[in-house]
This record gives sequence, structure tokens and C-alpha cells, in this order.
Amino acid sequence: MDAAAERQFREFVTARSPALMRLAFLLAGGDAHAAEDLLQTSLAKTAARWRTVEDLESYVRTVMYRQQVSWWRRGVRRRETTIAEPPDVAARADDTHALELRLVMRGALAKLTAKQRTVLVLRYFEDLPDTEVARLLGCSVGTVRSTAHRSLARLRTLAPELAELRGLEPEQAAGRSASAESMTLKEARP
Amino acid sequence: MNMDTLLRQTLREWAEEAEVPQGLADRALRRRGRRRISRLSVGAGATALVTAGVLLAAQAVVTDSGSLPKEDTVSLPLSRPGMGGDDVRTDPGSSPPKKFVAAKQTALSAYYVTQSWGGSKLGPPDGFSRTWYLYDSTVGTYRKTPWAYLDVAPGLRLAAVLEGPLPASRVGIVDTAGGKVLRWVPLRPGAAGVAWSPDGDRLLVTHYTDNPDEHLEPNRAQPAWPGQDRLMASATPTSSGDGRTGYSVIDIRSAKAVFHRLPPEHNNINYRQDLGWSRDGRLIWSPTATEPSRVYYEIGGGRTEGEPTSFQEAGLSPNGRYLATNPVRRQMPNGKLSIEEIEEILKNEPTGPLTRVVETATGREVGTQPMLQLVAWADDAHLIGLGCGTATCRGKGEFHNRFVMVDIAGKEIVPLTGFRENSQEPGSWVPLFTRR
Repeated sequence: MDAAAERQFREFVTARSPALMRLAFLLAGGDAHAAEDLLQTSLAKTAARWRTVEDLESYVRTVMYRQQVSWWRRGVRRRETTIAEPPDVAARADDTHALELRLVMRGALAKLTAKQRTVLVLRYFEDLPDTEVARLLGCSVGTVRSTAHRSLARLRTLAPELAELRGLEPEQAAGRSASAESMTLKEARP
Repeated sequence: MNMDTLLRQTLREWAEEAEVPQGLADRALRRRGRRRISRLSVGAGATALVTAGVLLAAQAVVTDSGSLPKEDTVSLPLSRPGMGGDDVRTDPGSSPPKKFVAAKQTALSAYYVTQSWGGSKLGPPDGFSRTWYLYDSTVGTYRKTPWAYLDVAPGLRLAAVLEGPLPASRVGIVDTAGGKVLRWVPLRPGAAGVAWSPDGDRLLVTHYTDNPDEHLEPNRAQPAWPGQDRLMASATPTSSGDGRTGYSVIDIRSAKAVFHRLPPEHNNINYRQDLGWSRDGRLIWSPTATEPSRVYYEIGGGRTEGEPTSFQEAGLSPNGRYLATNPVRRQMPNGKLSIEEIEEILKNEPTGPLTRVVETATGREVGTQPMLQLVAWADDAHLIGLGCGTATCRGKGEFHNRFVMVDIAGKEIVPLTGFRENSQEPGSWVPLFTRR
């Protein structure tokens, strides 16, 4: 990388790192250290292919998604399994305040596997259709949908407080086809 | 609300807590270089000594760059930069805080709630313990911990913890994100206080013959302000030879602890006499109960001269230019004034809480603040104080108070936390402030 390319790379990182860090933070389940590692690794890979990449941001994001799932596949469980205790607020099941529910949701999201969390982040934060999620992760649409279904069910198991919410019930969903589940979720979107 | 909406809201809100670390581009570029070195080394084979050297270096670099956590090493978290940030984050509606609280370069990294036991109704309890709550960035709130004592490292990434019941015989290094213990460092028995060095590379552990929180004297059962139990503690030695025995200095990288003997200060009646670091980390100090409020020692032992001190916990500003201190009150000659003369003097004294900041070099007063205490510096121009406004505290006393950010001039006051109902009662909370 020559001086001009390096300057361009620095400008890209300066301009886009807030958005990229937000994504990395969610993919890492709120673990700031892991998020930093993830983004740093992805940027390093991008820098190595600087000349051949056309859409830089898209490339970095794709590297992040795949890197996160890859770490998980390699058995690197990181810290999501160590966030053992839910926050104190989770213990107050009778308190349905929205803020507390969101904290409960965070705790549950942090305990999902990297793959499960990545699918949910792509669907509900990045707002991507399942076909695009499948392309980015290099898997089939069916795999994306079944993973999303299992992830939602797991969230409810991890945080019983979420059972009171309207929406797709795991038992109900279990009887549906994967595509029906996906449709239901999409219909529920604003 | 349905699951879909909650999931979206949670992700959006959570993502906003991500903080961009400094020097990302630099580190990515360096790391790209290391990846090349690593591949080159493997390709060249490991037969030659030179190549083996490169391989080792490459492996060391990968660990140092913070790729993945390992249970058996502490080198990884040390390579991580601090959380950083210099904004003001408040939670004025909560006491204790639920959301992250920070004032410029200083954050409320943890807090504890005290519980006392035993004793008669009128007398002091037999002892007290602390329940610590540590800020966990993975959930964005302060989480209850099982530790009996802790201190948070500058940068907020790590905490040093002691297990209860005190005293402990090992210190744990904890990742504040998630709360996992990364490593235990065995110690000589008797550890009951711990403090991180300003550079985050060393720990200072204070040792005692027994639990220093079980030797209470009347009206000192509860720490009334942050750091009180660190500075002035709460108990008197029961007999000669009891109390503080010394301190251990632990190098975090090598996990080696070196013990030094240091008996209690004679002019301090308090049992807990935890040691602290000087601002530059070159000396350690021991608390006294008189002026000067701290006496300095070389890290290896031996009395020496140190920085100016005061009874205000904030002490010196980060650049060392200013000192937080008490207001000047006029001395009254005992027995030489009539009641009228005393009343006349008091009439001209400032009313209400008051603290002041002086220039260290000249002693010149540069500002006064309507604070009960100055507990930490937020940056070189702002402090974190314990505030009790006349209007809000009228009739409720000085122990109905909240933490605020105040500038040196005492004009700009930003509430950081909600009010503590009575900071002297058991169950009240006491914050720990740490550089971000």
C-alpha cells in the first residue's frame, strides 16, 4: 500500500468506523473488547486487499459477519458463555418497564451463539432480506430462516420475561414452515 | 410491544453504546503487516534459528494485538486501550445509578452498598461488608458482583478483586466486560485493600492481621463519603501488633507479588489504613488522621517527601497544577472572645457547604465551589463533587446529597446521579471513580 492508498484507507476508517463499530459491537454481543478485535481484524483484511475491493464498506461488513461466525465455528466461545448472571433488573420479572425489558433482551442476545446473533443482527438491525443474509453468510435461505427461528426461541428460553410479548410464539412457530415464520416476521415489521 | 419491535429497539439502543477506539487505522495497518510476517515465517520453515525467532515474535504479536482472550494469560487485556471518552454521561434520576455515569475523563466505574451486622441499637455494629456493583459494558449497567473488595483499573477494562470474607489470600484480575476472572495471583494472607497504579501496570494490596471492617468505633460504622473508608477507615486497633501489616506490589505482566512490611501509622486511630499511589505512580502514600493527610513512602519502603495533600479526596488535578482543598475558616482564640464577638465572626463566614481549589505552586485560591466534598477531578478544569443545594437539601441535612460535576469557579454544576437519601445510613451507596 503506497502513501496515497494509506491516506485513503485512514480517511475511510475515520469516516466509517462509528457505523462499523456499532455493527461489530452488536455482533460481539455487546462485548466491547471482542467488537474491537472483530473490527480491527476485518479492517486489516480489507487493507490487505485494498486495491482489488470495489465497495469497501460492503466488504468490511461481509468480512465481519463471516469472521464472527468463523470464530464461533472454530470453537472460540469468547465471553458470551461467561455472561452467566442476568442483570439485576432481570430478576424483577414483574417489572415490565420497557427499559428493563430491553436490558433483559440484551442479556439474552449476549448469550446466543455468534451465528444466531449474527442472523438476528442482519435481519433486525441491518434490515436485510433473508436472501441477502444467506448470500453474505454463504449459506442457504432455509438455513437462515431455521437459524432465525431457533434464535428467537432461544431468546425466550433465556429470558422468560419476554414471553409476555406479543409476536411469534415458539410453540406456534414450531408447527409452521420456515418460510411461514419468515413471512410472519416480515409482516410484523413497521 | 411485540418481540419484533423490542428486538429492533434493543439493537438500535445497544449499538449506540459502541465507542470507537482510538488508532483503529494504525492498528489495522500494523496488523496487516504482522499477518504477512506470520505467513512468511511458516512458509520459510522453522529449521533455522532465525526463522524460529520470527515465529515466536509473530506469535507474541498476535497475543499482544488482542485477538482472543485466554484463561491463562493476562498479557492480552493489558494490550487493550482504555474505554476513553471525555463526554458527560449522567443518570440524575437514579440513585444508585443504572446507566453509565461519567464526567469528562473520569467515570463512575463501580459502587458499593454497605451492610452492617451485630452491635447494640445505640452502639456501633460489630462490622460491615460491602456489596459491589461494577459497570459492565456488555449490558450497559452496573452489575452486582460477588467480591468483597475491588478497584477498577484506569481505562475501565479490568478490575482487581478480593474474595470475601476478608482478608483474602489472592487477588483476581477481572474483565469488566462480562465479569470473568482472567487470572488469580496468590498473595501472602491478610489482603483487604487493593489499588491500581495510575498506569494500570501494578497493583498495591494492603495487608492486615484480620478483617479491618470488623473493628468499629462509635459513629464510624459507615463510610460517610467516598474514600472515607480508604482514607480514614472506621476502626481502632484492639491491641498492639494488630492492624495493618504491610503491602504487596504486584507487577501485572509477570504476576509477581513482592511484600513489604509497614505497620499502622501511630497518628491514625483507624484500623483500615489502605495505601494508595501518588499521582505519577512513583510513590505510595499512607493515610493519617491529621495534616498532612498522607505520608509518602518509596515503593520499596522508606519515608520520603511527596506531592501536596489535602483532606479533599480529589487531591491534585491531573496536570498537578491545582489542589482541591478545604475552605479557610477563621481561627477563634479559645476563651478570649465574647458570645457577641463570636457571632459577629460567624456572620461573616460563608454559609453552606464550601470547598476551594488552590494553585499548587503559589497557594493562590483560584475558585470556590458550593460542595460538601470534592471527590475526584473530571479534567483539569472540572471536578466531581458531592453536592447538597440549599433548596434541595433544606431540612434534609447534609447527608441528603448527590454527585455533580462542577467547574473550578463553582458556577457550572451538572448533576451526575440522583440523591442519596441518607449517605450515613446502612444501605447507602458509595461510588468509585476511575480514569476512563
